[in-house]
Amino acid sequence: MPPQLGQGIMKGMSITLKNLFKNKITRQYPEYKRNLPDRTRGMLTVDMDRCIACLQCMRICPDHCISIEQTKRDADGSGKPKPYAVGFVIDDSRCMYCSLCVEVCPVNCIYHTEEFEAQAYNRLELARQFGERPVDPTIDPRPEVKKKPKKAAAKGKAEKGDAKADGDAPKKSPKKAPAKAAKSSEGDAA
Amino acid sequence: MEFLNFLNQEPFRFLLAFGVVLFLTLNLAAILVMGERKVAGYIQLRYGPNRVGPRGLLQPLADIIKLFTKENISPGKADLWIFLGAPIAMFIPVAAVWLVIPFAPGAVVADINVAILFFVAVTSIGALGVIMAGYGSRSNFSLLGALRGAAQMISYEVPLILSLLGVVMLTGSLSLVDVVNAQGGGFWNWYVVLQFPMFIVFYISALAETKRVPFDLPEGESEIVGGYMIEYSGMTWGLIQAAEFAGMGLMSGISVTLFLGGWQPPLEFLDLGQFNWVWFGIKTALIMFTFQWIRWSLPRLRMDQLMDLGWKVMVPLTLVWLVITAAAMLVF
Repeated sequence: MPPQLGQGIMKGMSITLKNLFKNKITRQYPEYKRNLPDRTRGMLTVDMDRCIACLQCMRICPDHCISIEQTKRDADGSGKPKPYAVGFVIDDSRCMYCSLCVEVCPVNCIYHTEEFEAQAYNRLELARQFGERPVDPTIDPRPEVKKKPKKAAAKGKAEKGDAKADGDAPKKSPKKAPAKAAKSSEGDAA
Repeated sequence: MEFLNFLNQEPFRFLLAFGVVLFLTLNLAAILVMGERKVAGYIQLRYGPNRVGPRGLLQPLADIIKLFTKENISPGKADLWIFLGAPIAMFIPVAAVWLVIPFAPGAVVADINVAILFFVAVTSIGALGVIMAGYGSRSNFSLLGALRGAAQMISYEVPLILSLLGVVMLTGSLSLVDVVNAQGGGFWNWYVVLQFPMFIVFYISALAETKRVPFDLPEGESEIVGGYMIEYSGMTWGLIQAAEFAGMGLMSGISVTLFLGGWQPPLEFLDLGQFNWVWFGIKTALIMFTFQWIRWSLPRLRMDQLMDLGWKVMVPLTLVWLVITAAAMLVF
């Protein structure tokens, strides 16, 4: 019998026995919360006072998670109506924390917080409203606008394309700017 | 207490004791699952379950409620009678062997004179349960696990039985009560002193019989994802797990009874009379802990290594030690 028989087993077992009595390294999460690093991408929030309703965040969002309801309103008392976001919803059930909206915002009014515990019993509860009026988060804020003009151009049937766009418009909330933009662009293409 | 005397008469005594033993076995399984997870956590520098109840002690209750509420599904082509009978065939033998183990002086359900034979015969039914589970599921991994289980459990029956023979020779009886009585008078009279190699062989065979790491080839969750129990769900799966953990408790109890003096206190003056079951419990719990400790320390053996260890090391060792025991008994 080789003299080292069983030594490996003894070694391993002694290590596990030592670990049995060591202090545990688990962080008990809900009681203990570690400090998050700088630039943590948590849930988004909007400073509605600074928002100029430029809709850039809504357009760039890959997940279509931001919906803005835009009107013209003389908010700063300059006598000149400017775009104003009456409704602003961020749907956290869609957000993937890519930070594109934060980068694109010209007035730095949309930014990440350190909140990361997005949970709810209903998916719609995850849509957080920021504006004066709630926006329906179930409506896709950015319907596919680019395909239709291409289709229309490819087929060469401008009339049909226009008819389609008109037919679609009432379904997809005519208040929304992108729908209007789509219409106008289609019109241009035609 | 006179009116309770009828409980000491035969059908009632046995029925009551059987109920108690069944209760003990099921609870033992639940507590061992809890202990397993706690030991695993502590060895890996975690806490283990600690949310349900004080320090997570009600976790087994939560587990059982969850298992009872789950649907019991079976494969479409499964042989249902065999599939559903397998967990029972695994559990009943494990519970039945507790009937012959003495817990304290006089506290044994059935003091039969062939208790060790009973133990050997009944535990080998466990292999049948494994084969039934693998065969009845009609699934490839199940069958693989069952074949491995059959090979392993039948191979390790041999050293298991041979390692018991030394104790039987020294005691001159197959009754576990006689075995325990013969080990009285201090820990140096326990058979683990005279039969130390046999104890080691019995311990390793017990590990293999209960299919625990490092001999968990029939389960092999990293290669055949659970082996023979892969198709089970809900409480049938729970019963298989209960049988495994209760089997581990049973093997600990048997090894304590045979080699570590059963309920005998380690020193004379620590005798607690009827409460000697405390000693039995402490010793059994220690052995159970070593089972869990080994489980979370050692890697799994390969099949050929397993067979080599069983047939080439342990069987010759037990045979040699039997001859030595016999010679020593002749001389002294």
